[in-house]
Amino acid sequence: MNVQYQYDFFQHIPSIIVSLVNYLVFGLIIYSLYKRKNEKTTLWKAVIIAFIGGILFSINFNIFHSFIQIPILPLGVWLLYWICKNRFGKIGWEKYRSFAWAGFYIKFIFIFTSFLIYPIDLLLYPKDELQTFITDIKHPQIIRTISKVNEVKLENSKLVHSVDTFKMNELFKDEKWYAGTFQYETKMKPIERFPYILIGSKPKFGSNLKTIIYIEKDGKGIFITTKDKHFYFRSDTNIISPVKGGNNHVKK
Amino acid sequence: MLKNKITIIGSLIFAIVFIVIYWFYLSKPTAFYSEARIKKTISHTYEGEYVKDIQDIIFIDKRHVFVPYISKENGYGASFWKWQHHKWKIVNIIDKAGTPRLWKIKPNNPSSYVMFWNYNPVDRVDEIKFRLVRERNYMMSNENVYYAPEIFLEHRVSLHKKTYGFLTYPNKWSKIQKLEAEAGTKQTLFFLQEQGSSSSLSMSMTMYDNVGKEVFPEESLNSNDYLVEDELFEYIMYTDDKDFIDRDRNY
Repeated sequence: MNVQYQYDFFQHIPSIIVSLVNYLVFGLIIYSLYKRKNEKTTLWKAVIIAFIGGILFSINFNIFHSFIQIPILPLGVWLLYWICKNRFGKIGWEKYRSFAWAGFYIKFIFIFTSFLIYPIDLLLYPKDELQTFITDIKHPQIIRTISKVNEVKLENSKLVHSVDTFKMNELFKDEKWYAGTFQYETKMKPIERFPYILIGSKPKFGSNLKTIIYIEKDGKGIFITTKDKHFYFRSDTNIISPVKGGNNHVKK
Repeated sequence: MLKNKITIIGSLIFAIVFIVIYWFYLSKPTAFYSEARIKKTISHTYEGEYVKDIQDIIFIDKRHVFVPYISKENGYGASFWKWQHHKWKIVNIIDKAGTPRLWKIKPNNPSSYVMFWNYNPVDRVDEIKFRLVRERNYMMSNENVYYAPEIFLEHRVSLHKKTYGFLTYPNKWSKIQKLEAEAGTKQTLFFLQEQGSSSSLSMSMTMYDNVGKEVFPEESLNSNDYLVEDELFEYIMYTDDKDFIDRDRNY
């Protein structure tokens, strides 16, 4: 499956952690290189040169749930080479060359660190726990997505107290529903199993989860979809109740 | 002395730029055009369209105006106007507005969407039903399963004896649309249902007369649009209630 794992950077803590690691690696390598070069230039110049050296053309793709950039053309190095040769001649370039190339090669190390994002994400935001998806429920509202089901409201406290009791479940275990919904021969399609959407809740901080949260007809199931995956949770607690005096008659 | 002069000229230029920007982009709308001016503008913009009657001038907000009209050929039309760049601009003219149009006033914010119509009285349209539908779908690939529940919402609007009218996008609909834009799947799913169904939200509508019988508004369809800004408008497809009967049997 071709899924892009490019998170919205500032809202995704695992991505932030990994880029901090990247900066640390970058700093350490440039610093040790600078020491080894017997300080022919100043440190801040070395850092800037290495940073520009890291500008490149890359091939990007997704593999193992990770977004990978493979460096191809060292554009920054070429630029620096061109500038230095024009300004200080060949010898001037010698002074900066190793830093420029280091900036380029460090990007290869970043390939490995980007594989860390997904495991960290799984560790901090386990997808088999409902709390990951529903942490904060301040102003909950339930939207009916099928005009012909009863109007309901969320039992906020029940949901808060029973979040732990919701367990990951197999959506297709309900054979009758599966047969009715997914087999072409069946003329009689059952009513939608998840006719409500919960809005106003927030996922765990820093998870950058963008979801649609559906609630099952009987109020005991929560079905969550993201752009590319779905998650189904079941519990024994009913988290919704009919709205009294609401629009509960069958309307055509 | 010279320094002083530079300061004065500099602040003068700054003030002029500021005034121009304010005037061009931010200034409050002036009074809307007179009926005569509206008629003239429509005929000038859309060749061959002559307005007989202006039915109403409806402000959607301070900067957006809907003007339903009747043409010389007895077409029930609609025109849309916008305050932009310090003038009232006409953005769309429809000579027969029987297929409601969705005007995306702020394209990225569904709560700004408004639907408009205008029916010839001979079509006896008394009520419109709008639907927002997403077929249920599922997809399987690489051991990955993805199920998208069905969405089926209806909204009925009475015409209240008027030929024209508008409906701001229902709150619920815009919330669903926002969610769908943010977290809805972008992938093409396997079609579960009848052909032609789609994995994304779609809108459709049906018209009824005053006793609730479905009507097909022949005199109000087959319109021509004269679009000035085309990406902001969308058709709402006409559908028979019959198309949804299979579904209804199960409720």
